[in-house]
Amino acid sequence: MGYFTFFKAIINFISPYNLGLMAFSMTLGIVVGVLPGLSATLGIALLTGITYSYPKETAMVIMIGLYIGAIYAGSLSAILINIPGTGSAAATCLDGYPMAKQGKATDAIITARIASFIGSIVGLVCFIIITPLIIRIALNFTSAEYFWLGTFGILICGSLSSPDLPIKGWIAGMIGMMLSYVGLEDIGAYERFTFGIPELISGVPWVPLMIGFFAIPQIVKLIKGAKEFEMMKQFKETINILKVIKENLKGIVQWALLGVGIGALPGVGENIAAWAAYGIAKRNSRYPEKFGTGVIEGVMAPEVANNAAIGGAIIPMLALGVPGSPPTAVLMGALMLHGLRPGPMLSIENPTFIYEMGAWLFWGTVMLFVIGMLSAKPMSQILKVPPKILAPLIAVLCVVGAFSVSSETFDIKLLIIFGTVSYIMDKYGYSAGPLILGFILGPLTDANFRRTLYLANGNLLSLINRPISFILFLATAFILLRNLPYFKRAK
Amino acid sequence: MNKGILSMKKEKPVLDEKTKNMRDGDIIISILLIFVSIWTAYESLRMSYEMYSRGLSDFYTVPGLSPFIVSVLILICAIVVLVNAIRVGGDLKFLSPTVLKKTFSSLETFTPIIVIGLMWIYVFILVDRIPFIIATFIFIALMMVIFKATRLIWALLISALYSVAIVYFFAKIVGTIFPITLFFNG
Repeated sequence: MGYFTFFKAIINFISPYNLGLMAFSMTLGIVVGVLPGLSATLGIALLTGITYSYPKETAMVIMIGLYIGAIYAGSLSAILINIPGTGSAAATCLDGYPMAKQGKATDAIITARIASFIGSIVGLVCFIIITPLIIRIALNFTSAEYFWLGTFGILICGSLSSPDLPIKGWIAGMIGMMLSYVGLEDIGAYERFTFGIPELISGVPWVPLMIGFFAIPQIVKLIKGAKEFEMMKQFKETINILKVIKENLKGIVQWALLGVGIGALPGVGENIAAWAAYGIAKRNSRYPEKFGTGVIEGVMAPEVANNAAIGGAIIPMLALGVPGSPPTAVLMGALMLHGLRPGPMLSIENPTFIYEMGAWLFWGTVMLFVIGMLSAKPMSQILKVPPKILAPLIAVLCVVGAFSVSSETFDIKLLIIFGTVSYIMDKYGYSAGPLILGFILGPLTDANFRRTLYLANGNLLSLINRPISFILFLATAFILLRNLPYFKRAK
Repeated sequence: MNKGILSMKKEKPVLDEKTKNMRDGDIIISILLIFVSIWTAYESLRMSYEMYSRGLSDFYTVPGLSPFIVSVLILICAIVVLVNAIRVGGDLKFLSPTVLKKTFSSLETFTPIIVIGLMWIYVFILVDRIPFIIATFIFIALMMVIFKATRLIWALLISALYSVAIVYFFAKIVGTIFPITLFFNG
């Protein structure tokens, strides 16, 4: 029944309006992804405010299109100017730019586009097959399982995405949790940490938080790092892409599944998936010493993985209410703003939503192929805009975007405060990703922790006396213990 | 020999400049986190006691339980970061007047201060006092002029066009109501 609903959703989507909307949002996503300083996360956060009053299906189509387009398009600037447009394309720079310097920019761009397309398809297939299975398991979850799931998610995100010590990732996650405690708490409606400010009673508004934490450091980096770059020219293509795919089929499957797997880890996302795939490709290559000099696998692997990670990241977001990457964390917030509750109850409250999401991912992938083909040359013109001109324009867009959600100047003041804090945190190795995940999962862990204890009259063993909660507890303990050697060795 | 983080033996590895700066910063940040987490732990205990003493919650459902636990965990982690930073050679010499003078005379330090400072002025001062479209124009123009993004005439033109375009888009199409308006609600 599920797959029939999925195919039906694909057919139902076909209309000039929907296809036009997806094409538009894909183009928007490519513009966002190409520009250093903007990212998929920021793009979705900005769109949340703009599409707030739109029907939820329209809003989701626009955001999914932007998400897929932005993750692909980061490779364009990575190849042409050696600056990744999004973090997920950083690994693509290593071989993409050298290829461009050898006069093979077009070949690299075609490879990136086809790789992104393949990765998206694999991510979509995994999403359609795996999500209902996980939902079936998650429907048996009680509050103890949700508590450990949230805790595990924050810890693993902190460990994997921290640029410095893993413990800093954990601190960032816990700061996010503390921010989520501001406002009325879920069980007794007690006001926590509001300091008498009425705007904080409903909690810290998450759109200014997301935009502040992701945008401000990028804007500063755009101005600080602005330097002359040489844009590589795009010549005629020489690549036989079908031959390349055939020769690398085993690798492609490996990189795509790796992308899905890493994407499904809470809060980790496309960036890590791309680097992991690059590392695997290099290790398994017959000529690893050539990586970094312009080999096709060095472009293909990260692009397959980062787009496959999109489908992977949406799996836990919809099935468990735990986002798999920063963009899906923002997407989840957008879903909640439109009255949807990501998690296993979604399949009961909105039984066709998952398959509709699958249809949007499908059409987004199709548009990626089409729009990606048409947009490579025009997008290279956008890259000529100097970063010092872009930076203030992006800053204003962020401020107005945050303001547009509730038209409160309090929100944009919070944005600037968070942005300042984020810049300092980023400078000293505290990543925004775990903080955002902590903010999203904080209420989940808090309410479920206390609910578990309430139902068991304060008995702590109730947190681990079920098989799934015990497994999740062990997984959490494993992450903690695994990272302890970092603290034994001074770093 | 490395005896683990609890050992305070002076075996400082040689750090590159980036890591040294990171560890120096770790000292300040972790001290700040220690103070903040102690304060949030205290607040959490206070709100919990208030509910518990009035018989409105059991100890395991008090509203401050999770914030208290998380505050304590942040405190522990901050202490670990602090100890690690000191062990590997982080120090507070960067706060000495000589080093501070050298740091603040470099463009690298001033750039983020100016960018963030301008954003503070834009949001905390300009937006509340003058029409949004003019506040936006001033902000963009200042950023471009200070950082020499382009020639003055182009900076002013781009600022004016972009301010009008963005306010028009958000006011007319998105339906945003700006705090102080000039024309088309923006």
